[in-house]
Amino acid sequence: MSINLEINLLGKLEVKLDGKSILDSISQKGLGILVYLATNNGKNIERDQLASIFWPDSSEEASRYNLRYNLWNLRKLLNKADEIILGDKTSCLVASESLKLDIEEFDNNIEESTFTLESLERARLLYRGDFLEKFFIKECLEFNDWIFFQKEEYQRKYYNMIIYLSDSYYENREYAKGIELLRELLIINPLDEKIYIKLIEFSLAMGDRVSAFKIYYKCSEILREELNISPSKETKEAYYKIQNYIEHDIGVVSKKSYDEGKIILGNKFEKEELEKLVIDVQTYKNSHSYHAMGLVLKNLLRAYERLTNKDFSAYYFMDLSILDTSALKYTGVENRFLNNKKLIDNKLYSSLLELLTYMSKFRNIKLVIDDFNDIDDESFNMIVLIAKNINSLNLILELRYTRDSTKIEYMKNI
Amino acid sequence: MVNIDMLLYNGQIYTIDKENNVETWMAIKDGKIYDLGRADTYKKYINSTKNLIDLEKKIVFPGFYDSHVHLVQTGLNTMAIDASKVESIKELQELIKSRAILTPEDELINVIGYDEYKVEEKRIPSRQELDKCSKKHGIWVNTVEYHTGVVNSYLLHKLKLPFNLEGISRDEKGMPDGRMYGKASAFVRNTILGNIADSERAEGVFKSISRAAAKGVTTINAMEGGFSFHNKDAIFIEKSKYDYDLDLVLFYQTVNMNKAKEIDAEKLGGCIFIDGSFMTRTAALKEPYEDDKTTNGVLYFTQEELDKFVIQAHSENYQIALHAIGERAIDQVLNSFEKAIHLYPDIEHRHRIEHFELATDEHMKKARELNLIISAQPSYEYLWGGEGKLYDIRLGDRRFNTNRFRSLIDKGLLVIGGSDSDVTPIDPLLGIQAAISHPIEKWSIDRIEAVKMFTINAAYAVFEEEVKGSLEVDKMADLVILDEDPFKVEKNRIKDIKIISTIKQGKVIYQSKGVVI
Repeated sequence: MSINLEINLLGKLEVKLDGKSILDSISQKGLGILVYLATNNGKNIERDQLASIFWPDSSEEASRYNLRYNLWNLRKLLNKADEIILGDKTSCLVASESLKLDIEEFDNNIEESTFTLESLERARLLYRGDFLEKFFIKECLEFNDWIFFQKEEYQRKYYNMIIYLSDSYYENREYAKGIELLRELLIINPLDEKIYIKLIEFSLAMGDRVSAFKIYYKCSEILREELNISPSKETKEAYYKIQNYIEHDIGVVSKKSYDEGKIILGNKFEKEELEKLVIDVQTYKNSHSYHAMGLVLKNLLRAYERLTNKDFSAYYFMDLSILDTSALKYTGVENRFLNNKKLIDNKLYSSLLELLTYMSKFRNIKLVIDDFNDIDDESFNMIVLIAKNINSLNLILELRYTRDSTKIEYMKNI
Repeated sequence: MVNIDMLLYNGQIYTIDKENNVETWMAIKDGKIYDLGRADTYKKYINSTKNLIDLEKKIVFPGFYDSHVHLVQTGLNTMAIDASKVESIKELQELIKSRAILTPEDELINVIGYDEYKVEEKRIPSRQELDKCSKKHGIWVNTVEYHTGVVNSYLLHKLKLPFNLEGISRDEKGMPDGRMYGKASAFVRNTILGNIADSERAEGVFKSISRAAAKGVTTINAMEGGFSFHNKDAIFIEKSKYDYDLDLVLFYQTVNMNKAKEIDAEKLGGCIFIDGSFMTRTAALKEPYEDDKTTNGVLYFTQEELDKFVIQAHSENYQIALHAIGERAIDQVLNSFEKAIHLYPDIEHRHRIEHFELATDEHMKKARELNLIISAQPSYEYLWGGEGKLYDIRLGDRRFNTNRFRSLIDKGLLVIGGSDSDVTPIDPLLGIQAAISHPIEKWSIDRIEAVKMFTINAAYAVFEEEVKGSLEVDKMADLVILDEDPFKVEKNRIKDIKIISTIKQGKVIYQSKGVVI
């Protein structure tokens, strides 16, 4: 016998007979009964049980009458009455061979012993949304709870499946596919930090630091707004990974092409044997004052921490602490501030330059600024200063840009 | 000859100007104060005045400010069921049932202030218990300060809860029992508040504003949006702020500058929660809580995160108000302000710290150096100060050093007053009384100082001191007429002084029954 009844439960309910939707021809409770029977396919359902699920507030007599009436209506509508809805006075079920059910197909495709990447992809397409999305019969508490239970079950299955799929794509280096999948999970739970961490990993694997940063900021924004919390330790670690992300093979990893826009200042390193320190900072449009400088300093301080010779003057650290309080750690004094911006800027610039000079005695430093065209003014002044002193520093400066600006022009003419 | 719209005479008009002048008559024209004076000098205007009012020796003050109001929430809560007094779950159920009868199907029934420690059963109701009240309405029960929420089945099924969201309490079968904690509670709150229509916001806000007018208020600082509220509240106030009789000054409670820019907000904060509250033991104390030694509260930001926001917002000329209650939160806030102000020293910022309840002498000194404004809520002391009250229970001996108004003023700080409505009611006279009758006598302030908290100081704190906050020629005619003199009645009767009339820019927006102006 050919299949002629199709019921799709993952997402908004769809009921099709011979390819045509019959949703509008069935009452809400009739649909409830049909769905409940279809999902419990093959099992005998007691009529009394059905009656009490769908008419919990009615007398036994009334509810049995209502049930009979609804079943009769369904039979009439489905036309092939006895072939689809079977049953005598005590039980009824839907004959399985006449029925195409999306959850059955979904479950088959993710069956643990037999699934393949292809079958999981098929299952993914079947998941149009939550189980019986928006379907709800106010007075039928038990039935609604049953929907809720199923909804969570299928969410869980879907979630696990997507994680598995995306991990597989990661292994196959199909990062973009993995990212697309993970984003679907954020629709279910936008507060799930594990997913953001994965997205950051995927983006970094692609060499796409810009996207990685964006994901992190999106995550911290939503956590702040919805929960008033900072990102978890794990998420912050992912963030540090982005900050410290070092291109091992310069020019290849980055997804974004800077082929046209690159200014390189500085010479080859004289002492090849020195450890290399690559600092790559990402600027943004409208980034706040000192943003890029702050990142450079943060990275320098981290590298400084690892030096054996830590005798850079505490005096300079004092000045730098305005930009990054962790510099205070090397000063042994409490925080004190100046209150003149020009004076502060001058002190900041010269102290940062001193620190770079000091560090470059021990490291071959490569300083990379991505999207230099977006750099904030204060950091730009700093870079100009570095560029002008490049010959006395053991440092290569690489400024990448995506569009021209007066700042780029200025740097080209240095 | 000039035409005067309204001439008030034979009164006692406290101008709260620099010399604290007291006048007896005032002429109002085009919403502004045209002239003021004493004795019978007003007579020159009599023939050209439309509306001549004999004050019969009554008292006039500048219209009051309430500098800290969660207006939309206050408004929505006027329509909610207040469960703060219920003594059992059964009583709660009865309350909800009787509300359900009057509520159209599918509408939300919002219950606030449920205190599980006060009810017989010593617990929060379950979903099934709420279902007994109605299956056809969404029912949402909030505990004190909205920490925990319970939903009935109707709401549970409508909420689109993620299966892996933390904080969903479950029964032995793994089904949610309706109780939502932590992240789940925040998620539910956001979803429900996000679904509230602006027409409901409007209804609530109108109601709250007319109540505020009846308390002599002519300007409200509306702290809207952000965590535990909803950004739609801020957007709504920005859109509708000119629709009301009172002036609303919006503070957008967000650290997301893009959001602020979307609605051209100029002031950020209010309750940007740097720490929590005493009630929920989340205010960030230096030492543990007296009644729970395992915790000393929570800081919601790292110093770095807060610095980043404050420096950026300050550099872009926003006025910032941050919620800080415990010592650790105050430390953090002062640090961030200090960095920002030292980087950009030339901005006239008027940044504020809201609450500042446990500030030390050092905190006050630092705040003074940075020219910060302290936004206090004196009614907290009225509600929570003194032996056996909340401050005592949570803080022990530290309760002797909460809200030290005297010290704040003596250290040269500008202090303003607010209600934090609906934590305490919008009622400046209550605030004034609370500030001059601090449970710890030595922290009380003088009457005139307390009055300034709710008038001229408050105006300064929103850059309005040139046009409002005192009764002077050319300023707006925002005033309140009182039946008795707050400078003369016994301290504990100030809150009971009858408000005869509230006038905003020359227009009567409130008058008590039986009075005709």
